[in-house]
Amino acid sequence: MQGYLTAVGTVGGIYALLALGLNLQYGFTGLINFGVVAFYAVGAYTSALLALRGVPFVLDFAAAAVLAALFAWPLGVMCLRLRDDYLAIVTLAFAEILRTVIVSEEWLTNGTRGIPGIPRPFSGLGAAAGGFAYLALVLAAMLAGVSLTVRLVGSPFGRLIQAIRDDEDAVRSVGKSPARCKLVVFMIGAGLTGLAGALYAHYLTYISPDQFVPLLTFYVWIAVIMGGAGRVGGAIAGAALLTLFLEGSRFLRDVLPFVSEVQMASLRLAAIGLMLILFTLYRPQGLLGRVAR
Amino acid sequence: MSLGVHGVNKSFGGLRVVDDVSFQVQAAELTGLIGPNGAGKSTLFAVISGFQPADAGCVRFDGHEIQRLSAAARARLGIARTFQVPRPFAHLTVRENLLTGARDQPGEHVFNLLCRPGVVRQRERQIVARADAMLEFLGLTRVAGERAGALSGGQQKLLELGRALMTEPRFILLDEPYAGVNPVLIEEIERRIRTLSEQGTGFLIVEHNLPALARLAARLLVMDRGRLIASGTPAQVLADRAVQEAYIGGGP
Repeated sequence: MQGYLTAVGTVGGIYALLALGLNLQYGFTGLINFGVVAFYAVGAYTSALLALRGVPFVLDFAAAAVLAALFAWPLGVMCLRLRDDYLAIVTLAFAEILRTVIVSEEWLTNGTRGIPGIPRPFSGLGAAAGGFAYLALVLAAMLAGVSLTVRLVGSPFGRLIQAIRDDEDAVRSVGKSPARCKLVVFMIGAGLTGLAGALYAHYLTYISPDQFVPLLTFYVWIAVIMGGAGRVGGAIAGAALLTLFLEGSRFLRDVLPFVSEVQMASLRLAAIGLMLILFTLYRPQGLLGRVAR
Repeated sequence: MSLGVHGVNKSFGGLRVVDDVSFQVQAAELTGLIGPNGAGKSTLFAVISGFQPADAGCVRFDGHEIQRLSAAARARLGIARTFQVPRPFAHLTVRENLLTGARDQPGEHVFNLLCRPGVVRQRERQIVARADAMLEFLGLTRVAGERAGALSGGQQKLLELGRALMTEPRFILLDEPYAGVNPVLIEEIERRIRTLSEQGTGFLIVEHNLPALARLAARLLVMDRGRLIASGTPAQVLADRAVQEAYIGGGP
């Protein structure tokens, strides 16, 4: 049971890091990124491939974050001067293209067979202690993400990005360029997402393209929306709620033995959809959002 | 110092909204721009402030052609504008709205946040002091901590004026500063504008409240159906037959 809780905590922490990245982009700046999973995949593959070539963990994780941010750069340069919806479409397409590239470029990514045997930090400590230490690492990364968000959002830069979210033309009218700030936020958010991907790859020790499907992007969106977009705690609360729900529905099988595994997966999606609808109707500001005026 | 347009044209689809308009406004001479609805006043504002490109013609500020500059670059040069319908940063507080207007805050770059936090803090203190003085000036101190979206329409107009002033403009374009504002506040705004004008800030003001504008302006420009049809002192312009016809809707 302890092992199970450690696993749930680790996965939840990774979701929280993803939600922090998207919250910075969408919640605070209004950027619609439908390609979260792409930056997650860049981070995961970067870190995994480097680790397998013997690069130390610290550098793997750093490279994952930096490379994910660098992937965000050209997309941002292309889209962020245009209307919001262009970024949405381009990131969505980018995620699909990237997955196709990962499948095809076997020399680098091993294609659909995936990459097994990714080393996990602290594995020398044994299953229980090692798992616990890894959980601590994930939570530390999450706290670093929280502290980064708090510091950014409370700064003059944070004030400006929230102004951009509220009204870009008004930002121009006071002599500031929205595109520059949006690009920076997009890259920082992608960096956090890449770091989450690295943590995921080393935790699971095996990655393959079918783990990086659009569904993950939408899980992160659901976490941000349910938790409260534009609130630092919202990303954490939303990720916790999402993890609770995804894991909790597993136990539902014990209560509903007549439901098959496949039916259960569909039911879970339906229930998440229902929950999202209920949130939109009754608490559109999310769990931790400000009460609507 | 002056702001001028020369032969500016702007069409939307087949409709010529601004038709070969030329004029020059001196900073020392507070100028009003009037005309019936749909005359092209707001579009002309958008062309001058860089929110709409002109199809033809040029915009000059302080002797330089600026029609190729972005809206943000024009604001940095010293041309501030407000919007017909107020556009505050609704989720920021009133004070934060003003702070966002301030120029030269190095803390708006992440690099400086990380590497020069002292400089950022120092500048922030200066800006906060200026914003607080501005709140006092506009009579908004009481609501400084409120979300801007929660203010009344009149207060939002004042806030927008304040946010524009925080950019330290040399020239201000006001689009209907009195619309939806109660008479007491109108007098208030009028006093503020007069003070600023005497301190050397240029003004071009679109306003439908003609008596209020005539009290304030040294000169009026009149537009009708995209064209400039008259200009002169308020008394001259309001006595002009063409202007009266444009307003009553008569004439060919």
